[in-house]
Amino acid sequence: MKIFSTKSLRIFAVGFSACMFFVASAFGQAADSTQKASGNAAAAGGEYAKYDAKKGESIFSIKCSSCHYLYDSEGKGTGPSLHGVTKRAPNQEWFYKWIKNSQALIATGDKYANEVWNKYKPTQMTAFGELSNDDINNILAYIETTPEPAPKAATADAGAAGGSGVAEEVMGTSYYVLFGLVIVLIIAVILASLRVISTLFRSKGERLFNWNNINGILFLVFLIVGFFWIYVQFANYTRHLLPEAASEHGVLVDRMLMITFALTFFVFVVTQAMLFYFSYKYRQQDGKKALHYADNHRLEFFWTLIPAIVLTALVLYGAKVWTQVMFTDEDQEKKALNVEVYAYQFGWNIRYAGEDNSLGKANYMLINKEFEVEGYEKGTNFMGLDTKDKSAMDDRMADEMWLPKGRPVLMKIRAQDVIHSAYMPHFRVQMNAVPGMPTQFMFTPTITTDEMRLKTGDPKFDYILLCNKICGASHYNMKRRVKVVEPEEYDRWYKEKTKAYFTKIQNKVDSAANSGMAQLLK
Amino acid sequence: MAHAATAHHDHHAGHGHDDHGHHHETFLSKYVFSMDHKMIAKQFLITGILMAFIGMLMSVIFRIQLGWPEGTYPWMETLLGKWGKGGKLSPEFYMGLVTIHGTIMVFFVLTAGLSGTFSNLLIPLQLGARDMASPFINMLSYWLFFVSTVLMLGSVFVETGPASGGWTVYPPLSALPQAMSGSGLGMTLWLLSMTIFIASSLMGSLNYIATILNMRTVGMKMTRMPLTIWAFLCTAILGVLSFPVLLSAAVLLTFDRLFHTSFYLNEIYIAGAPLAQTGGSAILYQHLFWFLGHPEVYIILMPALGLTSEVIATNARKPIFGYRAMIGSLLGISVLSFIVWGHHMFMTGMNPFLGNVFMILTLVIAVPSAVKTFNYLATLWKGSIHMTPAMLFAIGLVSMFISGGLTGIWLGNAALDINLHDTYFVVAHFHLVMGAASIFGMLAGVYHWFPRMFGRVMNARLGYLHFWLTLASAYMVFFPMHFIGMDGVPRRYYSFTEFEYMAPWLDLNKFISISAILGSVAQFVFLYNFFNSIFRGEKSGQNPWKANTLEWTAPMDVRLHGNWPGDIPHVYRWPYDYSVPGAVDDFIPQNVSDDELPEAARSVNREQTLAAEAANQEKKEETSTLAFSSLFSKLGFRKG
Repeated sequence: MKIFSTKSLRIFAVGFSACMFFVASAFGQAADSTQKASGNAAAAGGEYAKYDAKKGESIFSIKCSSCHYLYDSEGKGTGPSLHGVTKRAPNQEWFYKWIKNSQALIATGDKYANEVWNKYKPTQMTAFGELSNDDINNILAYIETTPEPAPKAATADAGAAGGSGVAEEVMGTSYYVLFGLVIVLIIAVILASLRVISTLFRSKGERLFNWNNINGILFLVFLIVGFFWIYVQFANYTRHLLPEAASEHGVLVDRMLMITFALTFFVFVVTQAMLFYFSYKYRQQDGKKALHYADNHRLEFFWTLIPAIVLTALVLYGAKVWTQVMFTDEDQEKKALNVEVYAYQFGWNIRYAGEDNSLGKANYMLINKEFEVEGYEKGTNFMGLDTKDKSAMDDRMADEMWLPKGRPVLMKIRAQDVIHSAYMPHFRVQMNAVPGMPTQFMFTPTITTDEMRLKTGDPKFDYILLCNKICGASHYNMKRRVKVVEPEEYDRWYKEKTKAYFTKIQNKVDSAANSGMAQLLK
Repeated sequence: MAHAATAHHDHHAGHGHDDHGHHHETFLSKYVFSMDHKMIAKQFLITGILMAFIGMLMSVIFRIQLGWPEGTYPWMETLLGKWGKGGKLSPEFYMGLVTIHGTIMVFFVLTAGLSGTFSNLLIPLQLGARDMASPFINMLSYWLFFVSTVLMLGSVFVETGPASGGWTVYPPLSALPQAMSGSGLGMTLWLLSMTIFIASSLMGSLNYIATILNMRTVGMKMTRMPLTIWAFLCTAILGVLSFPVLLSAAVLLTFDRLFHTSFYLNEIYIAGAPLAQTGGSAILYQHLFWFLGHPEVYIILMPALGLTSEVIATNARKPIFGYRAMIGSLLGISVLSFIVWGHHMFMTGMNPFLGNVFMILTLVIAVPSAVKTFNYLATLWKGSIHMTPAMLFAIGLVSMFISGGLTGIWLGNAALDINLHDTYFVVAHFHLVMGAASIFGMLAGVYHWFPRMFGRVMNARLGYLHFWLTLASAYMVFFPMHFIGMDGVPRRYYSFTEFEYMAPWLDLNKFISISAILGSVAQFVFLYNFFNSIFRGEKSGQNPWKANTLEWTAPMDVRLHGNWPGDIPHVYRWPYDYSVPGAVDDFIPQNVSDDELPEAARSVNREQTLAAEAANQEKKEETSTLAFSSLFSKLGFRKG
């Protein structure tokens, strides 16, 4: 039962926003331009207040935030920043068309669409055919009702805080510029004075500097300072590196990495030390002659053989690990949890295989086409699933990739437009997503997100799926959250949070079931 | 060297320049469309240096973005216009800069600028030839290169921006203008420029090979060629065999773009519509590209190694250690470089079995590289190192080669590549081993052969300053990147502010950017020194570094076409007779015959003299406590 009808709600909303508009414009008379803008925002938000901004936010964060910011004075997003966009565009209908397929709208000769296109072309907006009109309204509600985040020091006087932030930045930059200038100046002064002094010396027929000695000694100094600096880096940076591998094969990879690191670092230290020490030790000095020593077959043999043996060992070990990680048989693949990530510019769609644990076929020709199957609700086929393939009918989608701990996962990887790369550094998982060539990677997560939060001491820690193959302007911001949980929690989440890709027509099924039950009860 | 050898020089000088090499020359034929290999070398060098500075300044711009992702700079808008609106580099143009920086540095600076300059300068001079096999094709090679640079630079200024898919320009991103703005006209120009570049490179390479094989002077056997020439020969052969494959890749990509074929396109849905082109393979392009791309790494590196071999031997006053092993490793690297390209593609979804094959082959190539390194170290050992700026840079090359080469063992291992692929670890690796190392080799070459090109010597003290700043900043920029890469931070990201786990590296990125700016400023020291020395440098003597190779026997009058006024010198020995026991000087040029030498220094008596010297040395060493020498002698250094 509803307490308010939607109609009454709408009347209320319109009235409320009208009041707000009045108040806002009254304020706006006296206020400066920034306040005017926020007044408009409130008014615009009012119009969309009836929609679910919360839902809009979750869609926005997945589909839009790679390219758009809400408020962005710096213009760093690939597309325009969106707050106030409902004021700019002609009407709501326009958004439906634009978001679902901007190129088609441009082709119709729509005036505003072409205006936007001319401003941003040839950067195109991804077509989001899967979004319903309601989804789009929700997104717009989120865009228009979210207030601009206050500058960093929110509690202080806003103007002063903003000013000091800018001042800091300017200070920072000018500090570096100044630093550079001072260094140049010092070098110039030193050079000039050296020049004077050396001319003095030369006039007496003496050498002030033995550059050969100086450079030789500098090599030794560079060696010592350099090694110390490397030590400092290890001391400071190793704690920022990736935490322990969160997958079974990742442990093998990490072990291999440590062994390779130890070997190469040893060789690094020894050879660099020899190089710089020799440069110092054998610098030309009066009375010393070089040794004519051109060849030594035994020595050549040694330093061919030893690297060869070490590298053979490394290769064999590497091949073993690689084989363990990459070679999977069909049996294992069938038992594993089948999940698909489908990459597009600039995001990931995630599909679970459903009860049959088999991902349905897909065809790029079907993408964003309307589908119609008996017993299912009509909709837009945004991943292009093949409705003739039975195993597609139970496939499910999710906003986040949740994985159960301890169960092998077969991640199938596809791409819609250009090459992407599915990279999950914490699991030591990476595989390219290639249009027209499905790839896969099988791994077993071993540490839940919560456990990892404890281990890293970072309560905000999250696993992440990101793009690691250059794919366009927003390549740097193409991500999806990954969560590993205990199997029970996974089951619960799977039931509640994943959505059916093809929605069964519930009424019919339910009523049929109900009537069946009713008859039985009778 | 005996006084007789000095007389030899005088003999040449006596001939004067009057009777040869003075055809009637206009400004155009002398400086612009010159067919003299020395002038063409200078043209390549100066174009290369200018391109290097453009590429470097591009890197400074995107390093500023990476170091201060929140900062805004009004000059950015002044400089870049719509790409820097509000003083902020746009993501599109960031990608464009990264792409053009890579292309310029790899092809225009380190392929044409390095190999083009020194192959042209040194092949005829060190072999005793009057010019290249075909001076006309040589000239054509430069002017095609010049046209391609103009096109490449021009592509930066088109409305939709330059090619932006990374220097590897993988399709479909690079094939479809819908995919990103840089894949429009900018990409077409990129392909056109590269096609012309490849033609230029092929002409150059064929010329180098023909000259080396056919035009060596009397006595210049293959086994008496300086290692520089061996390196140029291997490089040219690699270029001839691999560049055509890139050409085919580029042509097919052009077809996909302009004529709607689908060599690389398959099952694509983009910009709200399925693409009509289908049935191709995006991975095919990568195979073709890397079939050039990997040999390309050695096309860049080997000339630098060749120059370094020469510079190190000359300035350590020692024969290069293991001459034959050095040639062997060059040949080994050349052959192997053709069968390791797959290690760039471990993560493309290629059959994992191929991963194993390419991993084995890749790690095999580390062996000849290791041999070269050890040979350099052995050459320095017990040398008498003259710290010329060239020598400093040569030592710097060895250091960079070690640092960058070792991480190749990580990345060549498919299992480790899973997590390191396309991260900053890769950026660190190839910038050290291929970028910095080759640039160091090139700079060593410039300082060393500057007198041969311009008849003057570059200022040494500015050279020292340049070297130490460059060495330090190269390590400060690239060493910390290993850590960032091991944390799984991808390359080609416009900013690192969107991910929690990358936050700890923001400060380090500032440090790297500052170091990069410092390094760039240091290069201006070089630029000043270079141009100032051309006009006002100290005049060079005939053989300023007391080197053995033939180029120092030709008169220093650099305008002389034909190199030697009289007869071409004959060659009697290999180029590394430094500090020969029994000789008067510590070097014996290649054109000095045994008859001109004291008894003990002659080749026939060399074995005995060396044995006597070694016995002498051994006696001394028994009392020596120096760890290194005793360690080395225990390893069999003395017993041979």
